[in-house]
Amino acid sequence: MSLSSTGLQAADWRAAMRGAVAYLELYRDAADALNVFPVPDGDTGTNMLLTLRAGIAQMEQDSTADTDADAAGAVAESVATGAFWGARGNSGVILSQLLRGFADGIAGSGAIAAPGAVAALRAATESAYHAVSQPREGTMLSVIKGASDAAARANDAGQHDVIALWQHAYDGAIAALADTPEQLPVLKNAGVVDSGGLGVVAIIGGALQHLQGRDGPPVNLGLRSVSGVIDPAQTASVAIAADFLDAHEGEEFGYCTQFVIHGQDLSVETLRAGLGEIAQSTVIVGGGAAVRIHVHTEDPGSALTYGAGFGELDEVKIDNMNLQNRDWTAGHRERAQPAVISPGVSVIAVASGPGLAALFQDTGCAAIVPGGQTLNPSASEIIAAARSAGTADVIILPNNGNVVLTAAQAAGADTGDVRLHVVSTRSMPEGTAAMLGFNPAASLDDNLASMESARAAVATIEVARAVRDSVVDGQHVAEGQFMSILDGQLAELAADADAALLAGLSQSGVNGDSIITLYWGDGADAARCARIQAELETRYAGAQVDVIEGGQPHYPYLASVE
Amino acid sequence: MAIRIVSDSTVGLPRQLAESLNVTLVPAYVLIDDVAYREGVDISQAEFYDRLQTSARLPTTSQPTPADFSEHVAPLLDAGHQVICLTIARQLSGTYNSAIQAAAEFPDGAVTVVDSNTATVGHMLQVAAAAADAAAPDSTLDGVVAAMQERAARGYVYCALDTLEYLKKGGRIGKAQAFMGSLLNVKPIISVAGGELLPVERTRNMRRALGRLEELVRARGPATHLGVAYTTDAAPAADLLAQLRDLAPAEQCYTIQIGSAVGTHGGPGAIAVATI
Repeated sequence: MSLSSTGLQAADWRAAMRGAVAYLELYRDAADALNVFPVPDGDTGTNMLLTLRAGIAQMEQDSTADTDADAAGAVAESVATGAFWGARGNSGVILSQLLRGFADGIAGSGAIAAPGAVAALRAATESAYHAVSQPREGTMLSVIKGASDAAARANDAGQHDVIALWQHAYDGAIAALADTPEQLPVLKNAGVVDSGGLGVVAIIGGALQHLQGRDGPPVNLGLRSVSGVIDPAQTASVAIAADFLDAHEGEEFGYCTQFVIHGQDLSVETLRAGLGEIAQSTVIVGGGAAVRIHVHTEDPGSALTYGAGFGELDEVKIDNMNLQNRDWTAGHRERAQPAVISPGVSVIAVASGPGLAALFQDTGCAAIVPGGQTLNPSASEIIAAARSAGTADVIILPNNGNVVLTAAQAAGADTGDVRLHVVSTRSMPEGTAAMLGFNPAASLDDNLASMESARAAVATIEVARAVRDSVVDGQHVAEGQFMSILDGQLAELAADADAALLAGLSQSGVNGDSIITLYWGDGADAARCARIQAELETRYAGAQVDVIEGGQPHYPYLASVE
Repeated sequence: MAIRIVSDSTVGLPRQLAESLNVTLVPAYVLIDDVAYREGVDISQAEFYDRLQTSARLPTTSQPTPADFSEHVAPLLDAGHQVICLTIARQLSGTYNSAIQAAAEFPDGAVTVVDSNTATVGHMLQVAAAAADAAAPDSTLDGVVAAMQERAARGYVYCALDTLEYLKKGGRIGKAQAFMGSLLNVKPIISVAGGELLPVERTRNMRRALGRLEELVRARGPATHLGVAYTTDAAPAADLLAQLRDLAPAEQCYTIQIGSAVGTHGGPGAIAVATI
């Protein structure tokens, strides 16, 4: 299918929106935890999710009832309508307005082609800025603008494939998110990126995943806050600076007051001016027969009384933000509590791929730091994981040549009552071998010795596809060839991954007493592994061949021989 | 009048050997599907291991009661003997406490209780050595007890397990908890020494585990007694004994099958080895 010529159809856009909501759900807790502006009350992710869910529910309902829904523009219209009625909170209302602008930008379109996507993102940006009385940079507004600008630039530069364009929008959103602490001092003080911005990135990224055909369960996108990669499964990966928590504790934030006015010829400008006199954080969207109001005020009654003068009130919702802030602060304090450090030794591992992470956990690692070949964790992420382990001595398994130095840097840092040590594992298979050499009942020195000797006792084979022509270890490698790397040295080149693996193994000293462990990842599958396993068991009679689904990126196969 | 050794049945001493050594065994209980069986009395080992692998619920174990000890000890005292009870490590079982409570019912000094600090074949070698001491013509109670305490202080057993699952389900896993590794199908080696169950090493298959057992025992040097034990697989146990038999006199080399009480926790495929 050539989407560059035909554009995204209604079904494509529905799939994209389902992806958006799935990824927003994944990052919901992280966005809640990051929420410091305008009020640190820990509900940004939840509010955005509930708003988008309302939009998706409307979309699903219309897709069966309405024949116009066969147009992509109609799908966007359904999402915007549902989101308007379901909007919750400051960020939710802004999101609903963003979706409204997007729908207006492609109104009447049967499909979304590249120019339409650019126009829709631009309209979404303008509409979102318009929702807020005093737009601030460093918020979700800047992030949608970053996405829109990047898409426009790519389109100007000749990019006419709408999915490729969406990738540019996503990259632009990520870059804009990274800038938010520089734009908004409160974020910098708290040491975070903007929470609503994270939500927008998750939405655009989720849509992209599904547009690119990756419609399985949502995966960690590697999105970063100031302190490092956010693990969506662990709110503890989102830390707020203690100074910030101290400074804002006990502050009075008033009531988050939301309602809808049903009336005639309602003017957003008039309402905004009037409510601006009596409340803060005013976000007003809609117009005509219905407007949605979101304000922060010490006196919700006066805002409601004012609104009632324009028509009938509906969907009134009042939240005490002082209580919400206390809960949010307490949650962060609790997570930020340094773990109780007791004598003893534990291990943390850097791992990429769900299967490998699970393997390290299964073998007793106290914590896993996400990372690997292209996603190198920072020393501070490693130190944070080490502190969470709870023992006075922590052994780091870097599991990648690119991470060994960072691990050494972490081990050299002043980490107070926790001492870090490194067993320099340069691959995941070396790491698992070293991990099996760990014994929590043994001393630190015994463990370092036994883990090092376990690491050294395995031969490691890594199979990777060359992404460009190059010279590796003196050999010319053509793009697309599969390299078999034995203990860090290029051993073989082959046209396919399976042949590269078998050739590498044949040089590894494998024999009938060997244990071969095969970890398959991106670009391989269980059926191929079963064939390879049978082949190896024939070739090296007596050898034990264990196959593990590693799920690692970049390497179709990792293997160890011991 | 003589000195007699009493042990709990978890020791795994074969009945004929127990009779020839004049050792009295107090049976522990194993509960399978809510029925209590006296170990080695009401259920054969073959039947037990079959039930262990097929029973819907994992069997549980229960130590002999103080009354069970009293019942076995009283006839020995009536016959004018002095009695020493040598039990499985007290951290693993309430057996030691049952024996202590039973001893309190008899006159002071009539019954002495010693903790072997270990289990299965490690415990069994200590019972065999104590029975030999007790049978010596010039033996004294104090001398036999002192020698038993000395052996208990350095007593140990290494055990290679096919899986930690049985130890975990039975609630005896202790510090070996971190030795799980089901994804890699790890074969853990544990020890019971100084009364404590400890993780020793993780290996990738039983062949390597047995190789390591041999190295670990050999590193401890020559011994007076050597024993290997198995739950279900006799052949690897016999091979291991053959590899190690130069370490101890031939008449003090033993191969036993682990009984149901310890076997419930070790699981099928487990191999144990000990020396003193």
